[in-house]
Amino acid sequence: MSASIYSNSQFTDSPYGLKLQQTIIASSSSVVIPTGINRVYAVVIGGGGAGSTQTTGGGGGGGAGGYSAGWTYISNSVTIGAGGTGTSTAAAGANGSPSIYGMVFAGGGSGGINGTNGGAGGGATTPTGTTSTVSYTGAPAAGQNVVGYASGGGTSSTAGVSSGGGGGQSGVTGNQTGGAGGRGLIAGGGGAVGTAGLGTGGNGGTGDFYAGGTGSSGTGTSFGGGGGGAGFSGAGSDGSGKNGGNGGDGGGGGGGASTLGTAGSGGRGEVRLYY
Amino acid sequence: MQGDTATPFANTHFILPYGLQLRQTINAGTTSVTIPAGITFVYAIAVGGGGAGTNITGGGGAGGVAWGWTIATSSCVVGAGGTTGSGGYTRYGSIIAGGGGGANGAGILGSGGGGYYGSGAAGATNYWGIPGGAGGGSFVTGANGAGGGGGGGSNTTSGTAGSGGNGISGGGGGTVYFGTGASTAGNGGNGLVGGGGGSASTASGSAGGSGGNGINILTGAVFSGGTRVGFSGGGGAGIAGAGAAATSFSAGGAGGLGGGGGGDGTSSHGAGGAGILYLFY
Repeated sequence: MSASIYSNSQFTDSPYGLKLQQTIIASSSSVVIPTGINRVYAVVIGGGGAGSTQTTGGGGGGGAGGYSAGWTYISNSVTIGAGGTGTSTAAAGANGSPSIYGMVFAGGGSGGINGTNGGAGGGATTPTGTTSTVSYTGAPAAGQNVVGYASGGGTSSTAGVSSGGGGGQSGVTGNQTGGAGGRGLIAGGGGAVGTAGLGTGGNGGTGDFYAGGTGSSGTGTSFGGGGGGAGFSGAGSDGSGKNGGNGGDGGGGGGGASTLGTAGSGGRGEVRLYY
Repeated sequence: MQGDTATPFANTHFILPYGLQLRQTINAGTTSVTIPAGITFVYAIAVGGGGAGTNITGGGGAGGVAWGWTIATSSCVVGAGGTTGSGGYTRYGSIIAGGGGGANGAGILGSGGGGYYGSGAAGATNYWGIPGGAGGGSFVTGANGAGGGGGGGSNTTSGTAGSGGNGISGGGGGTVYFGTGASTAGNGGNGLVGGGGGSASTASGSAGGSGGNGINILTGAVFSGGTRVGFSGGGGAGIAGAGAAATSFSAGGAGGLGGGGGGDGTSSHGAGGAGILYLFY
């Protein structure tokens, strides 16, 4: 028996049983969809936000890239959002960039804040700061430290589908521990610490498919970088010395850096096509 | 069940989810799931844990409900019911529902707001963008919404508190915390998941509020909210179980399984019902 969604009135928009046919990790204007396929189910993930670094103390982790899924008309072009690039300049981390296929789109994650707070997870569009954005399904934005589809960034590990980055610590003496990135389908990066005492960077958030990176630990300001958050397609990297770990492929948030170390970059976005 | 090798062009099973079977029911505290090989997408219904009542403060809001298709994963989070405040969230893949607000606590991700002895707390917009209801002012019922708003009460005068707003997830009932004159607490809001009832002062003639009703989504049957006893409120019904009656004149009832809000009491309160996760494929 054969059936077609175009002649079957009982067809509903279920993706059940669909097969993953393409995973796209770079922008292109030459996506090839087989003849006869007029619409596809797309999973679209934005780039993760970069962590931040600070002159003294530790910066916040970057938020995870947004996650959107749904049916769309076919297109031969696709935009894949890059992760925000981590730097050693004391400033907010760079936001991740959005990804788009057809009419399904997802924002990047916010970079870590210029200070200690982690950045928010991305929704359908890209947030800047600790408050996230509305999701592709319409789930509301979440404020600082609030659970959401795209969760808020801030000081604690805040969970969501796309979670926020963990907060760093401003203290420069004594033992300090950075905040972990939130747990999520895609996860934010860990916050950093920069202290003369024992400093332990926050771990990157744990994802559903991959682990977050481990924060760097040691005595002195040469340590304390946060781990990168888990992406949809790859694990986050460990923090190294005072540098943050990179977010995993598929939108993981970058880890924060301490004392003008280099913050972790966000993981690249991607698009998966099912038909 | 089917594998991952089919496309809509050679498959007649796309009338689903009507044809899907409930394959797994997952309770609070579970963190891993086994999905058979070849299943790429799962239809999930997630319910957050219910919010707790708080002594002479207000009934707890019901846990949020979210539903839809998600990529299959082996990981899950199922929220516990609140014991002193808000319930925990529940997430499977990209489907996420918030825990109900505790007394005077706002809902998140579709959950009901908690009742209060002042203005009730707001219910929340849900996963699909359906707006939540505003909390009721003093002696005013919470507004209806995806998450109903909490009912308002008073701690400065006697009277009849507002009930929780109705919705997919009901708001908690308002409490009257004033010792002179008979007062009546607000009932929990009704929905797929019910809010907890409020409590009333111990003056002669005062009465607590009943828990809101819920619905068994697998059968369509109504789960009843718990009844009040004396001054204390009953627990709201969950999506998977009835709410408990208040356990004494002064102790509120617990929310039912699947996110029911806890009832308020004058000396002890009911916990929120645990969240739950249904997986269909």
